[in-house]
Amino acid sequence: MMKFIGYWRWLAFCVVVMPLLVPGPLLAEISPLQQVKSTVEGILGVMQKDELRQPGKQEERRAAIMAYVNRRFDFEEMSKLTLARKWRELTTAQKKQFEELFSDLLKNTYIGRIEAYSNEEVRYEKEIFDSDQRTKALVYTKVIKNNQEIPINYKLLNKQGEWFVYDVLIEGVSLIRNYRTEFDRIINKEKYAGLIKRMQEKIASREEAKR
Amino acid sequence: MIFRPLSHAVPVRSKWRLSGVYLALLALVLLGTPHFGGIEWAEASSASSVTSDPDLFAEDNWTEAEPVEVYVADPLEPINRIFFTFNDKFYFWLIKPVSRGYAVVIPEPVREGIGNFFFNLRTPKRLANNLLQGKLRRSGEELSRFAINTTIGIVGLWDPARHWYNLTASNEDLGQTLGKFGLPDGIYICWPFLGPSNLRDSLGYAGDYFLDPVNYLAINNETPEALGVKAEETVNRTSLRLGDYEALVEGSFDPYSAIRDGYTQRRHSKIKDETDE
Repeated sequence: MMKFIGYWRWLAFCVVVMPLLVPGPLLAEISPLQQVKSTVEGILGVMQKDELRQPGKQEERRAAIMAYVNRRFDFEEMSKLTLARKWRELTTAQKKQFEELFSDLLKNTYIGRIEAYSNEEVRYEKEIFDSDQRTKALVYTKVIKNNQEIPINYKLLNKQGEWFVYDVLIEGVSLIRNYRTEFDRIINKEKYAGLIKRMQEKIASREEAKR
Repeated sequence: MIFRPLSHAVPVRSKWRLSGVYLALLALVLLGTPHFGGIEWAEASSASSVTSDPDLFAEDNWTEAEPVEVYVADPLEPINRIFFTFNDKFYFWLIKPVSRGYAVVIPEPVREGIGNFFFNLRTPKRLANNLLQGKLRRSGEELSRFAINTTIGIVGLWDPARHWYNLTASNEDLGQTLGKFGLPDGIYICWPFLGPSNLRDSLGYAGDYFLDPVNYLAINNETPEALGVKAEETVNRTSLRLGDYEALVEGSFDPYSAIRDGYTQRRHSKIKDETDE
């Protein structure tokens, strides 16, 4: 009889105490892979919704997609990284302006691609962190189109427990790195003001092309 | 304790059991070693045990780093730019319209099938380069894929190897093999028609030439047929990926440099097998 009570007490002890022994941060751990997955699936869900597929509904569809994008992508961080050292020299107003232009440019450019690849299978493979502190993560995914697998990886930053994308690597090519090199080149030739002008021109011409 | 003669320490039956244990342990150690004999052994499961890798994020501290102005050696830039513009025009004026018309006439599943057929034909190149790089598992997968897709998949039109058996291709070429052996990129070259490349990858392309069955049409003096087949393959492939090139070009301020840098980055990534293609 004593042995029996002992067994249950031991079990109760384990059930109560063991979870408390798990380190605090891990309990609240949200996986970057899960967050990328829910964003991508959210976007794919919008793409595949029949009522939003009607021609007149394009604006609504795009707005729905942008809602997901804005929640998961950290455009401020991306702006900071593409301008590198130049970022520190900007005023707050200039930083805001650049961030707006850059995010407009990216969204305009890639919304078409998102729409084109909406029917493909996406595989979420693994997540790797920068260290035990888990401040940064790299999520590996693959888009299967026809007989080809297109590796699309996301680099994320941990801000107060939530993960935000700051770089996308398509087939090994980093978006941030590409733009950083380009912006560097333009700033060298045409100064920062020239870069702003070019970005505004580009966005304007894409708006024209859409009409 | 290990070296104490067994016969003194334990009875006979246990002695054999112990030897068996030692043998088993030895076998386990040998089999478990990833690069036993320099050959890549079982892979994949080792990846899941690595949960953190600071090297992947090493180049992210850009706010402090020097700007990287020159990323690719490009002494032939003036000529490359001419060829680049030529390819760009060739695409927009010829390949794209033809591919669009083609896409209207031929349904997508058929075009996918044709794409699969050509992809299957390139197995010798992938097989040879996987072998050269010591990737035995990948080589085996390529062989299996070829066998399955050519038979059940009806000369490669369909891809049951991937759909049923989960066997994926690994797109290795001689340029990557040479890169893996340590040959540096060399200068950037933009070939007319063929597109972006560099010295090493061009050498690789030449080497792979003899592994492509289609090229044997040209070697056997049937050059018009060879060109015809290549044209069909290009149009078919383009029809399945319409818009990719445009997005690349429209998203950048200087498409020539964007493609040059992007190509180089992509090749480095493939050589390092970061993307596990």
